[in-house]
Amino acid sequence: MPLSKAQLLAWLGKLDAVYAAKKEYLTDLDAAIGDADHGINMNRGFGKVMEKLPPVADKDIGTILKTVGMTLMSSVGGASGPLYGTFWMKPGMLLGGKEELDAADFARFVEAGVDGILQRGRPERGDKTMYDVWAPVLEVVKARAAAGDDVAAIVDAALPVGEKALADTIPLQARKGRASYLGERSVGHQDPGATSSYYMLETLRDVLHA
Amino acid sequence: MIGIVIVSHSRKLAEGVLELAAQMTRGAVPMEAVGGIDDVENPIGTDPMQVLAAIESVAARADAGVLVVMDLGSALMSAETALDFLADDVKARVRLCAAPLVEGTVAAAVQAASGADLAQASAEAATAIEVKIRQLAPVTGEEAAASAQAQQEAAPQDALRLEIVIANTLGLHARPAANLVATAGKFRSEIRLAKGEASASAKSINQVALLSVRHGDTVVFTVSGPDAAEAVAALRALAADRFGERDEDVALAPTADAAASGKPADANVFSGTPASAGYAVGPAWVLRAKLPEIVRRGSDDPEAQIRELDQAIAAARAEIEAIKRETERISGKASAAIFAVHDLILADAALRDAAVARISGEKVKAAYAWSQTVEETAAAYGALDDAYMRARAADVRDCGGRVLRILLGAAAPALRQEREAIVVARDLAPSDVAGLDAKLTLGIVTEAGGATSHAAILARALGIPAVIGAPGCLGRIADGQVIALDGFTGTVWAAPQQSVRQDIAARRASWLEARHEASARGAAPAVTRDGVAVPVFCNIGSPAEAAVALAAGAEGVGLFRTEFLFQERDAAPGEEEQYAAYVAAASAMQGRPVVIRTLDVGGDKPIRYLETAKEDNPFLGERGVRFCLARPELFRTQLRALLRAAAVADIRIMYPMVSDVAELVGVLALQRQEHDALAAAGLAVPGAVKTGIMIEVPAAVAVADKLAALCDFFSIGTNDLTQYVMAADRGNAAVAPLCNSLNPAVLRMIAMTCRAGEAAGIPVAMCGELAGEALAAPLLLGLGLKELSMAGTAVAGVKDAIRATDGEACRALADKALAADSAAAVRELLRAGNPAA
Repeated sequence: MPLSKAQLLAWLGKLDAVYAAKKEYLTDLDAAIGDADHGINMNRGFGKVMEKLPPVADKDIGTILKTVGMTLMSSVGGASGPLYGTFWMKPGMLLGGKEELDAADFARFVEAGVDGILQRGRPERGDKTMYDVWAPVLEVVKARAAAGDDVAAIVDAALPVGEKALADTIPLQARKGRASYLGERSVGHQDPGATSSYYMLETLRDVLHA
Repeated sequence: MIGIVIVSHSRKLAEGVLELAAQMTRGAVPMEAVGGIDDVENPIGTDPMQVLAAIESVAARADAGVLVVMDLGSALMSAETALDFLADDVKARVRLCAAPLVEGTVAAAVQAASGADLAQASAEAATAIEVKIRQLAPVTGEEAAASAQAQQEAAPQDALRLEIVIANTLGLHARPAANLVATAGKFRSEIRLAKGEASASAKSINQVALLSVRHGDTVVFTVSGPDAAEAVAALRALAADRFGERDEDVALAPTADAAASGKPADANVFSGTPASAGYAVGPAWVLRAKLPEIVRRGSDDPEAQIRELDQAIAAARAEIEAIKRETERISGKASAAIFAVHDLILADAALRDAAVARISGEKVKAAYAWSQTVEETAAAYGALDDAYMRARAADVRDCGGRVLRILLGAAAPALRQEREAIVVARDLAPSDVAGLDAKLTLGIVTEAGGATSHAAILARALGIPAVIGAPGCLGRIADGQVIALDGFTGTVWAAPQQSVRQDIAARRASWLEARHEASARGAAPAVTRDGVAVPVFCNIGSPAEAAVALAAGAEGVGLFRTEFLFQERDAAPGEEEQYAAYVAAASAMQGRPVVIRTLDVGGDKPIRYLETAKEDNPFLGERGVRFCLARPELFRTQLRALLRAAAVADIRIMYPMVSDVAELVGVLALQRQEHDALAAAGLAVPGAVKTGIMIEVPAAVAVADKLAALCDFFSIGTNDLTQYVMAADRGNAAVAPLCNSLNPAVLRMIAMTCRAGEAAGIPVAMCGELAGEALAAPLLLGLGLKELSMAGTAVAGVKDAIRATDGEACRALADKALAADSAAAVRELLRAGNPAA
């Protein structure tokens, strides 16, 4: 089954609820190693997305994705603004005219998004960033799509990989962003950006299984 | 010109940095600040779209491109993101700059204002942090990264090279560095200066100074551009002239030899003129280490502000010239060299022009513009890694502060002493001295001046130990550093060892004890053995000295000289200022009488803003009350202030240099007119003010009976009376022996005056130097004097002498003295009458 536009909109709506619910948690994670605003930023960003979506809800998926990207870019505030902004916008530019995403489209979606993160933040694996989650997830997504899985199966396969990758950020020392100023003191904390990225995957799984 | 976009997480920070940079560039550089996001509760963040808008807006105004300076994290990412949305032709003219936000923006803005391109501005900004690292290096122990290497750029193939071994004693510092930058700046070619791996733009004084080029270093100039050949020729000529280094520059620098071979124990001991007796040990308070804080005030008339600034600079240079000459005379050329540097700094058109640009650009007052400019310049010097160069920061502030004090006039914030300290200064102006608290001032040390300088006279009057004219000591004394001084020998220890500290502290304790004992003796009234109480007064020259007079045991002030109010300024003090000073002196005396003498100046002691005719013989010219009568407005102002002050305190008016009856009648008529006018205007004036005259002209003695009928008291000024009676100039060594107040001729004049006073029923006092001689006290009483007024330090001794004598002995002594043949014979009589002497 491909990912429908309705599912996409449901995913975004659910993400808004998730980030509202996880606002304190994400902010606490960020407080340990950063500037204590990631939860606030994500909540604000997706709140704004909800405001901007209705006029474009009946447009093509590309337009929706670009709108999400632009909105996040301008409203998130922290580094995750440009990062997530690019993550959503790049696929949006690629997937113009689409009303649904099949497995190949979905793989292109994730690949373009992760590409955007790479281009924007120039992270490397092990820098203790959201890329530490997305890099292994992208590998699984591409492999499963190539193997012929549908979107739900792909996400099911990617989720545990993402979950492990998320846990793996705990012992890492931050080398990017404001957390990097903490040096060794960033060790022992789960990365908030990686966490919010994992929620995207987890929420998508929930939507696809609903 | 290039423009700048400042990106920060915080809108406040971005705007603050913009303000800071705009202050340096006076709005010449197109700049915009973006920061924060649209969320009232959590405004910290960056929005790439805002950055985009700012870049587009600045790009529209900046033809040479846009430099984007960011704080950290998402600011970088937002700026990069913004680049993705820019049209290609705009994007090509935008450069992201890796410099630290505050330092980098300021440096880049300054570069932009001077026409730098994106690459130059960005490179200058990126190295801006090094100035800070180097400045703090003595505190942090960190060294700046060798990022000079990072900015080193490969010389273009066609560049011309010029290799030079630096012959300058000081290396490329101070004037040589300034000359290099000025010369390089004349050419369009890019001129870089390399020392080893590091290189710098020869057009940037910062970079040149940071290269730390020293004597004997080999440097390589690489010059590329349309006028490269001419530039190389000019550089070669400049190098041949040792970059314009002059001997006086070198004279100022601490020589390596002195540092190496000098005995370390001596390097911290300085010797000067022992200007005021006593000992002190304690923390140094280095005056004018900082500029006074000036509140930013606007002005709608830049032209007038610029004129004021130019006048103040000129006046400051005149002051410096005068101090330089005095210092040269007293302590020699080497000590005075520092003032040549001060003059050089103030003569620098760049400093003046920068302040003028501020005045016009920011529409601010001259004082504010000047203080900002001076502080920037001083800070730039202070950031250099060379101790000699850093020391120049203090000089910039010192001479810059002088201009500031002139600009502000009476509004200049007074120095505020907050704790016990030894005051250390290059020199002390009367205005500085006014801010000193005698109770908190343990001692005074100055680099310039001599025993007769203002600081010395004041220190003696206040009983503060002082060493004046100890060249070089400022370089060894930091604010707060414990130092010691011996005012008997003129020695200053900049870093006294424990043993010296203890020794000086012990000496100070016994010195203070002896002084305390003397002042206890001074406090009791002076009554002769036969029960006649003799009022003993003090002479003072400023309100501050009143407290000292009181502490010394004075029962009043017998002579308050008002000249201090008129000296060292550009215009006469107004009525209110004078009134305040007179009331201040009187209140310090806590109800005791204060005799205030009207302005006593003339050709022999001119005041620069009061026109004095060139006189062949100023002592016989227009001086004292003659001078004032010829300038009625000046005189009336002082009289009004005195009359009003007399309404609130026991103030008496005394006129100097009165020589005949008509003159006194004229003076009293003037006083009466002002008195009546004040009363008519509803101002508080007393019914009558006790008014007296100085007796210091032989003519006045001759008609003392007539003068006594017109006034309430006489006070004999022995110094002038003696030189007029003897027709001998006391400053002329050849005739100085004649000029002795004990000469029987002078004594007879004193006796005549006293008889006239007695006949008229008015008291006769003496306020000349003779009054302070304890040995002469019985003689003076015998001659008929009723009151004696003297320096505070003489009070105790004179009171003792009065207590030891009686009326009969005094009269007998006076008779013998009046009949004596010479001053020497009189002195013998005085000694004989006092076996202790």
